[in-house]
Order: sequence, then C-alpha cells, then structure tokens
Amino acid sequence: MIYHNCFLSSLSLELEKTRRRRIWMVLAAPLLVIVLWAGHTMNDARFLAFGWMMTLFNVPLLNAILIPTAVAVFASRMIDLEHKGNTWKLLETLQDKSEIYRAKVLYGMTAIFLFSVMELAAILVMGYVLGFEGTPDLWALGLFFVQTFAISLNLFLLQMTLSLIFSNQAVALCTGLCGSMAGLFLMYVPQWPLLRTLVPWGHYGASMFVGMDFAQNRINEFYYMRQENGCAFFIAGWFFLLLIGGWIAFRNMDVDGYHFEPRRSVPIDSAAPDRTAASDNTLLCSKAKDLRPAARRITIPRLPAELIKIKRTPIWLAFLVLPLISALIGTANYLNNLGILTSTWHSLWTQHTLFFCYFFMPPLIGVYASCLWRLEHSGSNWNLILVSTPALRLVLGKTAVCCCITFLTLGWVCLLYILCGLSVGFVQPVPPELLEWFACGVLGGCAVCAMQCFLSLVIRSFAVPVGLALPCGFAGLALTAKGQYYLLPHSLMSVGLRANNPDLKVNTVQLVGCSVLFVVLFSLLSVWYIESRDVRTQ
Amino acid sequence: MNANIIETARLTKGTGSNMRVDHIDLRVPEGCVYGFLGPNGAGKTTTLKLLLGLLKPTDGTITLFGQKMTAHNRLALLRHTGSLIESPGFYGHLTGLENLQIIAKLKKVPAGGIANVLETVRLYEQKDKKVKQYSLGMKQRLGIAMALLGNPRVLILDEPTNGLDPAGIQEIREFIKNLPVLRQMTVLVSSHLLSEMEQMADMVGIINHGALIFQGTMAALEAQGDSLEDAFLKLTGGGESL
Repeated sequence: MIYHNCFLSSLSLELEKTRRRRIWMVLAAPLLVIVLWAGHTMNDARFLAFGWMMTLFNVPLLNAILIPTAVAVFASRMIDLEHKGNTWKLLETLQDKSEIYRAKVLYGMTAIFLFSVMELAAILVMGYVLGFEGTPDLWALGLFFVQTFAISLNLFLLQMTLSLIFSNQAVALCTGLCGSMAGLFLMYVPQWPLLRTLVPWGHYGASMFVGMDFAQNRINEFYYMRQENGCAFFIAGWFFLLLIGGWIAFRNMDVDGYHFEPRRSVPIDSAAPDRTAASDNTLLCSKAKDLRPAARRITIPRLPAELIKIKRTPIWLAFLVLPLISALIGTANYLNNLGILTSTWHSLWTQHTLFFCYFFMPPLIGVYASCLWRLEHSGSNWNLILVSTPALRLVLGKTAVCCCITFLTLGWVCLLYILCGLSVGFVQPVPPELLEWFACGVLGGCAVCAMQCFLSLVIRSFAVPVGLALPCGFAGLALTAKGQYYLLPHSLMSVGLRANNPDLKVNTVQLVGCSVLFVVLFSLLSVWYIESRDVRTQ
Repeated sequence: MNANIIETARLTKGTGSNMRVDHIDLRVPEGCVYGFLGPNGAGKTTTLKLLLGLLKPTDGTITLFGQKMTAHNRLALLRHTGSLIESPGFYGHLTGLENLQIIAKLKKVPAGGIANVLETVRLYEQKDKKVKQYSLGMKQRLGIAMALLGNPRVLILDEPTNGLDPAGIQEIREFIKNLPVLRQMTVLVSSHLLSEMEQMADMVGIINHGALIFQGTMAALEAQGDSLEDAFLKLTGGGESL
C-alpha cells in the first residue's frame, strides 16, 4: 500500500512544503496576462472569422516571452526554500536522493500540466465568449497543448537544475530572463531556423504550426503549416538530457550546496594550533595588543560599504548578456523589415529598446534590487546592520547602488546601439538626441530602482519582486498607450528612453517631476517600513 | 561599581497571551559581567533585541549610559555598544576581513582596530577566507570580533559560546571575565548554561516566561539553594520548561 502511494505521497509532501507560499500565483499571473493580451489582440470584428487560428498564432509568442521567466521564478521558489532552510542535510537522512529529485520533478510536471490545461481552457472560454466563428479544431488545440506542456516542462527542468546548482538564485533568474529574451529573439529571426530548433527557449517558435499571411500592413488570413525542422525530436532529446543531467548534477551536489572549486579539506579552526596556549588565560588580551602591529597593516577600502558588499555577486552576468541579446534581436528585426522602417537611426532605436524596456529592463532592475537586499535578509544580518546604520542611509545606499548599475546598463544599451548602427552601415551621424533619451531613461530608471528596492525590502523572497516587475512592465505599456505613462515608474523609464517612438515630444518637467516624486516616495516608504517594523531574522 | 549603565523600566513586548517580555526592570551596573539567565524561550533574546532597539517595545523605557533611548539618539548611543544577537550576521560571499571592513566603516572605526580584534579572536590567519567556508566556531568568533570592533563601553552577547569547542568556550569565558578590568567594558551576556555563568558573572538576572524573577549578585543567588542549579530550578519552577 505504501509503495503504491509513493507517487502521491511525495507529491503531497512537496505541496505541503510550498504551503502559504502562494506558488500557484507565479503561474496564474502569466496565464492571466496571456489571456488578456490574446483577447486584446482580437480588437477587430474582422479577426473573429479566423479567431481560433489567430489565437494559436499569437499565444506561442506570448508563451515564449512569459513562460521562461515565470518558470524560472516557480522553480526558484520551490528549490530556494531548501537552500534557505538548509534542509538538504535533513532530507538526505530521511529519503533517498533519487526520491527527492523525483518528487521535485513530479511537482513541477504537475504544475506545468495544470498550467497547460488551464491555458487551453482559457483559450476555449475566450473563444466562446468573444464569439470566434466556426468550431475549434480539436486536433490543433490538442497539438498546441502537448507542445506547451512539453516545451515548458523542458524549461522547468533546466531552471530547476540551475536553482539547485547555484544557491544564489540570481543566476537561475537571470537565465530565465535571458531565455525569455532569446525566445523572443529567435521568434523573429527566420534566417537561422536551426538556431531556434536547437535551444529549448526557441521551441515555442520552432514548433508553431499556424502561419500568418500578412501583406500591405494588414492581416489577411492564417493557414496551417508543417514544420520540417524535426523540432519534436529536439524537444524529446532535451527532455531526456535535462532530466538525466539534472539528476547527475543533483546527485553530485553536497548537502551544503554545489562546490565548483576543488574541495578544500574541512575548514581548519584557527584556534586549533594554539590549543595548548589557550589555557593561558590572559593570553587573549595581551596578544591582541603587542603582536607585531607594523607587519599587520590593514586598511579600510574607500569604497562605500554597499559597494564592498556586492563584491563577487554575479550581477554582471545579466547585466552584460540581456542588453546584448536585445541588441541582436533589434538589429536582426530592423534588417528584416527594411521595407517598413526607413528613418534609420530612429527606427533602429525603437527596435533595440521597445521590448527590452517594457519586458526585460524591469525584471533586470528587480534582480539588481533583490541581489542587494538579499544580503541583509539572509541569516541574522538585520541584527548586525540595524545597530550601526540609520535606516535612511541604508535605503539611500541600496537605491543609489541600484541606480548606478541601471545607469551602466542603459549606457551599455546605448553603446550597443551605436555599435550596431555603425556595423549596419548607417552613414548619418549618431543622433545627438541619444544623450537626452539616455538621461531621461536613467531618471525614469531611478524611479523603477526605488520601487523595486522597496519591493525587495518588503518581500524577502528573491524571485517574487523580480516576477512582479514583469506585469509592471506590461502595465507600463498599457499606461503609455493611454498617455498616462507618468503613473508608473516602469513607463516613465520607457517613455524617457523614447522606446516606442523616438520622435515623441515628452513633457520633460512632468517626466523629471514624477521620477523624483517616485524616488522620494518609495525611499520614504522603505525607511518607514524599516523603522516601524520589528526586526525579523531567519 | 558605579551607576547603572543599562536600565529598563517596565520594559514590555507583546500583550495578553502573547506576552514575550513582561514589565522587566533590568539594572546593569557599570563595570560588571551581568549574566542573563533563563530557560529556552524565556525571552532572553527578545529582551536583548529590545535593548538594541531592534524590536519596538510595547511599553516601558530603556536607559543607556544615563540617557533615555529614543528613535533619535538610538544609533548615537549604540555607537558605544557592541552586540552579537542570535547567530552572528555576516556576508558569506565576502572574506572575514571584508566583513570587518564593512562593520568598521559603518561604526566609523579606524582600520587599526580590525587587526586588533582579528588577533583577539584568533582569526587573523583566516581573514582572507570567505566566511561561508568558515566553521561554526569561526563564524561565532567573527561575530564576537564584530561586536568588539571599536572598543565599545558595553558589550551585549547572546549565548556567545554557541558552537564553540571546550577550549574555545573556556577561552571566551576567560576573555569576557577580564573585559571589565582590562578594557573597562561592561558585559551583558545571556546564556542557559549555568556552570558557565557561575564562572564569569558578577551579577545575575533570571528571566522566566518573560518576567524577571531574580536580579542580584551571584552570591545572593547561590545563597537561595544548595547550588546554583538548585537555586535556578527552584526559581524557574523545576524542569518544566527546560
């Protein structure tokens, strides 16, 4: 009987562990966005004629953007709780390692399965509510379901392994973000079809079976097509590779995390060699005073404390890679659409920044902010830090560092833009407005930093604030479309950068005023939060 | 022994059934080692956190160095204290030295003090190792070094010998015992290890279920029973919560 229920019991155990973590929201939120977005694109009665096919055309794109990040957050949430609670050493005395691994995989598989079912159901409901013409093609929907499930499962396995190996969850989350970016990129680059067949993030695009006939700026119709790229084999191959690779990685993991450096022997307690001397009671105090002070010269670096703290943090990873992917997408997309896009430098700018600013920059800033506050959230560091630092200085320090990294990121974006423009062969000089876009973008970026810092301070999880940044980016896009961009920091940044329209006339006073207002507001909220709350340590 | 360097009046945290610290009047005279005793979960750590302003008291006042602690002068007063509460706080990806440099910066202490405290806790040779590679005892030593940095007038230590081996325990005990004389420090140290307290504390406060049930000299406490253990168990109502 016990053996019989092994499957269910390990699953219920995992469910028990994630109680009160609202982990289902991590997948429910993107589902909601996908449905709203897909529904929103049906804004023309003309589209209802081919509604079912159009939805099947649109949703894989949304999946490719949203699912990698959502799955990254999901996997990180369920793995990080073991890292944080230091529970591996406990679990491994109770269960076989393969059992733990199997339970985690089963849990993720069930969640992804439910997500895929819900997405399918949502599409059906949407179709009937909006009144799509004709009956849904069950074969097509079934195929879509299987694809979503299989591809997302692969991504889950990948993210889970990353979250296992790197106890610093920034690595896994940045990979998720880069994956989202890459998925979008590969969707738009038809030149290298092999590329999207190869990597797991490209599979949403590679396995699409609905094509669009788009001519004269107008959608004419949709048609079924057969992908001859052997994508199914790659999906299956990745599944086995990730499943087995993840298991090998997990099996080699030590209870206190993964060791990349060749393992040193157990740390030597420095007191050991002096053990005999320890009985000399006054030694401790006298030794401290007269031990060759000249030979022991220690200085304090002039760097601000907040900068010393982020030494050896892998922030640079996302920092370098994400803008690079974005620049590659932008340039490729520009080259593909030379027919429609003409105003060279300005067109290229939109291509470079549009997706990046709305969908990727906010979570990236979220990662920065989470990295910074995680330092204080871990262990009993709050006890340490709050007896020596005023809350205001702490908050301003964190926000300032976050703003500096954002400044550098946007600077890197601009540099890539100029490099790409030159390599494409533009003859006109680099537009001088770029400086203004950059300045306004950084200012808006500071507002996002202040908000993300506040979120990462209040929410102790690493992944949740990063995940929240994604819907905020979408909300920013919606607000910009309505002309109310000043209501949310995320849209301030994008509008400041002129991400959707370089020729946009922006009310600078309003932009600057709102950005400063947001920075002040969220900084004060953070200070108030620290000062009014009792310290909580883990 | 002079005036009280730490005083609390009706210090309270929590209400009703969730009373964690119940109207405590702590009196810590200057220049002594004050042992703060109590069974697990009696409210020792909560009281120490209240003293440092890490928790907001529900009621009551705290007086440090003769000044009433307020939100405004809290950090100015705490500049003259060093503390180690619960387990030591540290940034694991940084080395022991880098951790101390950060604390020195925050406490505005000159760099010379760092080598000094590293020597004191015998971590000098290990200072360039990442703290996450430290053993439990080394982390504890680092925590003590952080508390000692800047030669504070008051040292507040919450079970400082946690995780140390017998030699380390003895070393820290002797070190604490000598602090009032050698460095003119007052030490408030919590523990549930009676024998340890017996050997280093001049003054004792016993807390049970959030209430201070004894405060006085070690000699006065020992006079209440055949031994310290006997006296302690009598006061805390036997082994029920131990």
